[in-house]
Amino acid sequence: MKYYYIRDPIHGFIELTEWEMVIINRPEFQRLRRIKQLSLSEMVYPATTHTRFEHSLGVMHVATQMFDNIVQRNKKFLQQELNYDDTALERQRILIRFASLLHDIGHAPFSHAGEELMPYKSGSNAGEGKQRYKHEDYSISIIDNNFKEYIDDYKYNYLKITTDEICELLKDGPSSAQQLFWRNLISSQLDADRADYLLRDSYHAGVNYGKYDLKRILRTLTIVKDPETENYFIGIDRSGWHAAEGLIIARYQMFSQVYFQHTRKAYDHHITEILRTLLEETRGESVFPPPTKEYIDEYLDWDDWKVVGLIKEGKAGSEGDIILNRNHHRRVYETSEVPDIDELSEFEAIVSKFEDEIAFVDLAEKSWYKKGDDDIPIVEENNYQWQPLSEYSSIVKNLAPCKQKRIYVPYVRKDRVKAQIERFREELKNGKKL
Amino acid sequence: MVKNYRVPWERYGVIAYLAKVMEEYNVQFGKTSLQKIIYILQEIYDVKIGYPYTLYNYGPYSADLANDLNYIAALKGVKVSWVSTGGYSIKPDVVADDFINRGIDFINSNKDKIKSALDVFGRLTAKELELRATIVYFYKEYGIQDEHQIAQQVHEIKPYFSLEKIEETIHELKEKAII
Repeated sequence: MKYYYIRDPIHGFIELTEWEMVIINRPEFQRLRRIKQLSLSEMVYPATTHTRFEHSLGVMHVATQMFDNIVQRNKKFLQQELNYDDTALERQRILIRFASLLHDIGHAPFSHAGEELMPYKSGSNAGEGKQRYKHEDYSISIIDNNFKEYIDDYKYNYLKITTDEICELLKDGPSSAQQLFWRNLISSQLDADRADYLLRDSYHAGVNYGKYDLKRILRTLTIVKDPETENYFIGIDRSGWHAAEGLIIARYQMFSQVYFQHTRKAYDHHITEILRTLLEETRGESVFPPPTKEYIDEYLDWDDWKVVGLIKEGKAGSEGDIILNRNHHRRVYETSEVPDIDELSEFEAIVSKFEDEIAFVDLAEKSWYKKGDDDIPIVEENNYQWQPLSEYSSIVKNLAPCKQKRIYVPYVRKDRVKAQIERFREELKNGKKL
Repeated sequence: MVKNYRVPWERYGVIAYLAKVMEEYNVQFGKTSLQKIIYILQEIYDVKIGYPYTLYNYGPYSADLANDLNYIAALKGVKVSWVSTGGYSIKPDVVADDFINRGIDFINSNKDKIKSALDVFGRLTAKELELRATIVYFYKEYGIQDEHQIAQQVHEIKPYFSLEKIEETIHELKEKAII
C-alpha cells in the first residue's frame, strides 16, 4: 500500500493511505479548506485563519494514536468483552480513521456560527420547542449520500468497510456495544476532536494557553467500568492524572481567553446575522437546506468564500458593513464567570430595563463549546474501577462551569448605555429589591 | 432589541428540589439517576423542564443538565460527592432552599407529577433507571412499538441486561401505563 505524508505544525507528519487520499481529494472534503476553524476569531487573533481541513487531518491522526494505545494496553479486554480478533481490530482502526477524518465534513460556513441557522428537526424531547439539526447530522448525510462510491465500492476495500458503519460512529443513538465504546474517541471528555483543537487553536491564536501533555494522555488511556451502570468507557490510568488535570486547565483557559473572548463573541453574532440575511435573500427562508439527499449538494455549495463574496458585493446589509469596517457591537456589562443568585437576578433586571437598547445578550452556556461533565475517570488499579479526577485534583474539584452573561450594544450607544447601567445597578444596591 | 431573556430558575429549582426530596427514598441519588429521572419527568410526566437529550453512548443524556448540576453545586445549591462504594451522591447543600424558592411556582405547579414519577421510579438504582429510560427513549424517539424489537435494540447497546430482563421491564412499564 502506498502512503502519503502531510506536514502539520501540531503533530509533525500525518500519515495517510492511498484510500484516504481518495477521500481527501473529493470536493466535499476540499470544501473544508474554505471553512475557518474559529469563524471570525481573526478579528481578534489575526493568525486564527486555520481551517476545518487541517483540523480533520489532526483528529484522524490523534484518534489513531488513541486507538493504538488502548489496543496495546487492553487487548485482552477487547478480545474477551467486545469479541475482537486481530482482523476485527484492523477493521475497527480503519473505521475510526474514516469517522474522525470525516466528522466535520458537514460544518456550515464559519463553523459553529452557522449552526444556529440549521433547520429544526421534526419531533423533540425537550418538552418545549424543537431541536435543530447539528453539523453532525450534515456530516452523516454527506457520508451516506456522497461517499458510498469511494468507500463501500472502493476497489481495494478488502475488509468490506461501509459508510453505514462510519456513520454509526458519528451519530447519537443506538448502536452495537463495540461501536458505542469506540464513539468515546469521537465524542467524549477525552476525544480526539478536543485533543486536536485545543493544541491547534492555541498555536494559531498565539496564546500560551491550551497546551497540555498529549503524549502522556495517550500513554495512559485505558478502559474503565461505571460502578453505577456497569458501562465501559475510556479513562486515564492513575499515573496520568496530572496530565488529565492539565487537559482540564487547558480547556478552561482556552474557553475563557479565546473561545469566549468578548470581541470574538460579537463577531459570532454578526456573522450569524449575515448568514441569516443571505439565506433569506437566496433561499427565501433564513435557514440552511436540511441534511437530506435532495438538498445536501445545495448545502455543500455554502462555504466561507461564498459568504465573504456576498458580503463584499454588499448583499449582507448593515451587518456586512460592520465586518468590513470592524465596527462591532460593544460589551457594556458582564457578570462574573460563576454568577451567584443575586447576580443572576441583577442581570435579569438589567436586561429587562434596557431591552430596547440592547443589541444582543451572550450566554456562556449557549456556546458551542459544550462542557457537559468535566470529571475524567481515573483508574485506580488495572481492574477498570475508578474515581473521578476531582477526587485527586483540588484544582478540578473547585473549577466551576462558566455561566458568564454579557450585554452588547451598537458602538454608538456604548458610553451612554454603559453609564446608565452603572446608575441602575447603584439604584438596585441602594434599596430596589430584586 | 432583546426580548424575553430570563434565568432558567425552574431548571435550577427542580435540581435542588429533587436533591431534597430524594433523601426520603433511601437510594443512592447520583448523576446518572438525576439524568434519567429528569428525562422521565419530561417525557412521561410532561414536566416541561426543557433539557434537550440525546442517546449519548449508553442512555439518554443531557450535557446542559450536567453543566447546570455542576453550576448549582458550585453555588452550594447541591452537594455532589463521590462515595467510597463507587458512584456519585447528590444531596441538598446550604442554599438549596434559595434555588427551590426561585423556581417555586414551577415546582408547585408540577409537584403532583413529580411525586407520581418518584413513587414509580424514585427507589430504583441508577442501573435500573438507565434501563427504563433507554426503553422509553427507543419508544418515544424512534417510535418503535414492537416489544421484541425494542428489547433487541436495548440488548444490543446494553448486553449486560439479558433479553428476558429487558422484556420483563418493558412489560412492567406497559402495565404501569408508562409506555
